[in-house]
Amino acid sequence: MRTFENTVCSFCGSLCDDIVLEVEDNVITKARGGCAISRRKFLSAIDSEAPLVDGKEVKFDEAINAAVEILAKARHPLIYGLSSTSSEAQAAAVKLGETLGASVDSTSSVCHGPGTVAKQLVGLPTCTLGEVKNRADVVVFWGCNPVEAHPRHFSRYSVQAKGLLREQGRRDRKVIAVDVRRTATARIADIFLQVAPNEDFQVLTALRAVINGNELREETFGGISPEEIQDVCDVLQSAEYGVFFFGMGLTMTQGTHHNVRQALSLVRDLNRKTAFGVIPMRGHGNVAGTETVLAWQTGYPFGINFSRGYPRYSPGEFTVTDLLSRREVDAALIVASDPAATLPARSANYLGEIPTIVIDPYYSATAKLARVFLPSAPVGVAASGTVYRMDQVPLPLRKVIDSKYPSDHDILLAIDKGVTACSASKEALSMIL
Amino acid sequence: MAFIKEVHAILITGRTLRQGIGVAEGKDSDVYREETSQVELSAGSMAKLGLKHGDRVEVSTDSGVETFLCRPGDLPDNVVFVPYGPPANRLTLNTTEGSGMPGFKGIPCRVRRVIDEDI
Ligand code: SF4
Repeated sequence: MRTFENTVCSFCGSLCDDIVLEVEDNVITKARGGCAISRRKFLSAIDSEAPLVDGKEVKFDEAINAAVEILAKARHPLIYGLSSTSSEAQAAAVKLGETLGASVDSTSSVCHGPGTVAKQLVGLPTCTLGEVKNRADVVVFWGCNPVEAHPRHFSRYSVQAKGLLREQGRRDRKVIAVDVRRTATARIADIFLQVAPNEDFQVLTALRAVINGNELREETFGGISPEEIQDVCDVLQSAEYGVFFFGMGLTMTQGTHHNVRQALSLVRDLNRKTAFGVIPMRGHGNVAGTETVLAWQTGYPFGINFSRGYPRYSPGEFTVTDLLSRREVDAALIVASDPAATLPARSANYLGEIPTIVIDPYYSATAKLARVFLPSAPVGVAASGTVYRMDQVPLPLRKVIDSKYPSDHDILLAIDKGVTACSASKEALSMIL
Repeated sequence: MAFIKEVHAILITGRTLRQGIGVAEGKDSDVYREETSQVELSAGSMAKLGLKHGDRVEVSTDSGVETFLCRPGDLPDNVVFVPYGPPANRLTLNTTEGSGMPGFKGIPCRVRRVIDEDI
């Protein structure tokens, strides 16, 4: 038996790096320290189905060749997903996208993408989760429910965590929750604002108005009274070090990036009075990495198209939901993501009408629709790599067991090599003819 | 199917702990299937529709119609909640209004009690 200490769990954007794994005969037998989700993830990590083409088991090379053939023939392929794989694989996907002249999008476009657009407009006055743990005395959770989606966020970083200047943990912090639902997170908050659906923008605007010294003249703002707005502003302004976490309750509701623009502007306003940071509460383990990698490789964070030979950026045009709903792509390569189980059915069903290739450690709902399924070694379990935490801190993932399949990264490089060889031979042929 | 009263509400889809455990365990797992086929309604809406925990309800939006088992949730009367998953995806909107973001939250919907499946 081997024991691996301080292993990173890459299921959610909290990336807890204190998991202890016990491995016996190439099987993880115990996973200690993580939450219930993490335990299931590590203990369910086994090699999945064999490579498949048109539902038939094939050798790995044959599946790679089938994928190369589909992509080399396509006029407008889509590469999508990428949030549950390593940043090395994300970089390989961008390279393949450039070779193919493809659209490249990540799950960011259906989670925090609008927040990223807002970040481009306002900037992100941010901090690390270490600073939250050690310094924050006022913590806001707006449109996010970490108790259920990031189960150890409170105890490791933001609420019960005991830090350098917050030795008493929970008792040293004031917690404000804002949500449409009285979630498990709202139930432990000191102040809860129950905002009317789709009206977050009004509440944020009222908060900014008060912080900037204006008087409120309406009777209610998105279901919140002027007195409640004033009380929250008093707490925010009296913070020694405040932190604002926001989730998809802001990015997915009406107003999308306008909501986040207002939230980031509120934090910017607060920085004129005290120290305040903002962190997007990222969901998937390495979705923060998709934006970092895509931005450093192409200049843009998601919704990218290479058809002109250089990257272009257009959310609403080169983003997955739009490309599939408008039936604009003629082949798709899905990496470490399951759009058939996560996108609106009207978009996702189109993946079953075009040749779709899936690279994933698990036989997902999308794999069932796909023409080619390439099983991969699960990253952080049977493959190593780098992932970015929600506060953009990079962490290394370890390989603790062996898989009979290659990593996402190696599969993407092999496809790129195949496509490049294919186009070289086509070019040579056209010169002879 | 025959129906009695209906409630007009706003649909929110989102993550729950059991849904997260289901994703980690595998989308074929019982926990994932069970969790994603539930809808949460306020006590007021459940009373209005004469529902008890576990009754079948039909939720419809501009995208489609789906049947769920209901459970009580701590929600305002005009809000219903469904965990992320394939049944929720038949109700979410694929229009992004130029943002890239489909309609996953804040969707107008109608909720009805299914009172007789055989008709
Ligand atoms: S909170 Fe997130 S990263 Fe931490 S153990 Fe749970 S699933 Fe893993």
